[in-house]
Formats: sequence, structure tokens, C-alpha cells
Amino acid sequence: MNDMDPQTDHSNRTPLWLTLLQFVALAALAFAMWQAWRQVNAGARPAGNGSWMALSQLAMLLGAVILPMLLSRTYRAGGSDYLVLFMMAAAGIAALYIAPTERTMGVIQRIFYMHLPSAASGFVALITSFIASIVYLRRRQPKWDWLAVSSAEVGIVCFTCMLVTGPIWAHPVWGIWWTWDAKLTSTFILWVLYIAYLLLRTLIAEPERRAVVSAVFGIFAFLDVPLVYLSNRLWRTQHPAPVIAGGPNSGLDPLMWYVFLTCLCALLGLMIILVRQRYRLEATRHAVEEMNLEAQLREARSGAR
Amino acid sequence: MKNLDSLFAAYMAVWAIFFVYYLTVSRRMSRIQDEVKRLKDTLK
Repeated sequence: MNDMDPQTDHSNRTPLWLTLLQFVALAALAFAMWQAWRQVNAGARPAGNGSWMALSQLAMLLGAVILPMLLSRTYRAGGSDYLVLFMMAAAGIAALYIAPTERTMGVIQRIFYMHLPSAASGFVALITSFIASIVYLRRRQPKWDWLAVSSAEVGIVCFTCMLVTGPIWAHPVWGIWWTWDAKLTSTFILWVLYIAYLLLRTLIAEPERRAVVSAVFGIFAFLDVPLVYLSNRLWRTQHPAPVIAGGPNSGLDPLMWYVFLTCLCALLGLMIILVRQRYRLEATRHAVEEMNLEAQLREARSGAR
Repeated sequence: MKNLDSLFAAYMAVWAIFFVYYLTVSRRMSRIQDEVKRLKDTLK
């Protein structure tokens, strides 16, 4: 079935109970991972027989199996979707269990495994939006506008994750939640710019004009992306220097690298699933606009007779 | 173990943000599909 076709399947509704069940499954997974981690740090062996450990491991297994099953009912999930969800579960386990504890910061450094992959996924989404905006301006095909807005919105979600996890990490390490240094300020400006991009789209009703104006604004907003990437390389302020591709003194422990790559792949996969789902929404919205136009034309014709 | 609560909060926040976003997209999709159904009935 073509997703852009108005003949879309209508049985794809998400019932409320299923939505709530998804949250319960997620909360169980997160809670189980949390408890398992506490047990490991309290001296229990990961394969220990303690009731909390057994319950945690069971819940983790159930979460990894049940969650994809629930999601498959809310939209037509494929093999790659299941793989990404399993990778998300694996990433959480790897970041909390397998990665070694950093010497100076302690366990709080494990936020790194979500903070940096969120940023990297956000960058990939915004680069996609930027390229799609340029291609739209050249070819004027609606599909590029749909891709631009879909990836920009998902990019904002990724950057929101980064902006939330950053202060949680900063508070115990720096003693402050936030500071207006080069990295943090340029990232916050980027986030605001893309929020403005989405708001701008809601202000223009005519589809083609909306696509052109937002493509131009999207290209302008993207100019902040290289600044965000380079800010802690160009200026030494509060935010630490990059640990990856940051010069001769940067680098990660090999095990940390593997865990980081697992988390990066999982979040990139999740980002792609979300962009794809959001793209389908935009395509269906376009189909509705066309059908509305057709309905208005028919009404006008029957009125003229 | 210091800061375990902050670590838990950060991981929960990431999961929650992604899934709330996923659910908002699903909700919007449901609404737009209802609109498609209504328009298809109108255009019959």
C-alpha cells in the first residue's frame, strides 16, 4: 500500500490502553535496569540469585520482547524496527552494566552514552533536513519538503534529549545546571532556531509557499550547526573538549568505545524510524490537502449547475 | 554510589522524550487518517 495514497489503512489507530501499556512496559524496563544496576554496585553479581536481580533480569527480557510486539500493533513495524528496539535495550544494558566506570566522575559519566549519541543523531537529522531543503528549492518536489520537516522535527527531539541530559550531568560535576558558554549557548540557539522553523510552517497556509519559505529558513538555521560542532574546539570554556576526534589528547577506553558505538547505532536507528513515521504523516497530510481541494471543486461545480 | 538518582533521571528522560514524541506522531496520524476517511466518504 502506498503511504502517500489517500487509500491509507484506517485500522492503524492506537487505542489508549495500548498507549498506556507501552508506558508501563517502558517504565518496567527502565526500573528493572535501574534496580539491576544498583544491585551490581551493591556488590551483587549480575547473574546473582537475589530476588531483585531475578526480577530485574526477567523484566528486562520481557521489556525487550514485549515492547516491539506492542509497537508492531501501533504501526506496520518491520524487521529493522525490531532490531532497533532490541538495540535500544542492548544499549541501555551496555551503558549501565558493561561500560567501565570513569575514574574522576564516577557513575554519572554514564550519561555520556545517551548524551553524545543523541547529539550525533540530531546532527544527522539536521544535515538531512538541510540537504532536503536545498534539493526542494532546486526540484520543487513536495517529497523533499516532507523529508526536510520530518528530519528537522526529529532533530529537535534528539537535541532536546541532549539539552536535558546535559544539565543532569553538569550539576554534580560542575556544580551548576547551566552556563552560557559557547557550546551550550550555540546549541540552545540551534534548538530555538528549529522550533522557529516549525512555528513558521504553521503560519503559512499555501503549501508551495510554506515549503519554499521553510526551506530557505531551514538552510539559514543550519548555519548554526557547524558553529555548535566547532564551538568547544575553537573556544575553551566550561564545556569539556571533545573526547572523540578532539586531537592528540582525546580518546576513549576501548570498551567505552564499543558501548558508545552500540548506543550511537541504537539512537541513529531510532531516529530513522521516527523520521520515517513522521514522513508518512506529512505525506498523508498532503493527500488530505489535495482531497480537500477536490471536494471544494466538486462543491463549486455542483453549485454552478 | 553517588549520583545514581541523576543517572536514572537522565536515562528515563531520554526514553520518555522519544516515546512521548513517537506517541504524538501516532496520535496525529490517527487524526489525519480519520480526516482521510471522512473526505473519502464525501467524495464518493
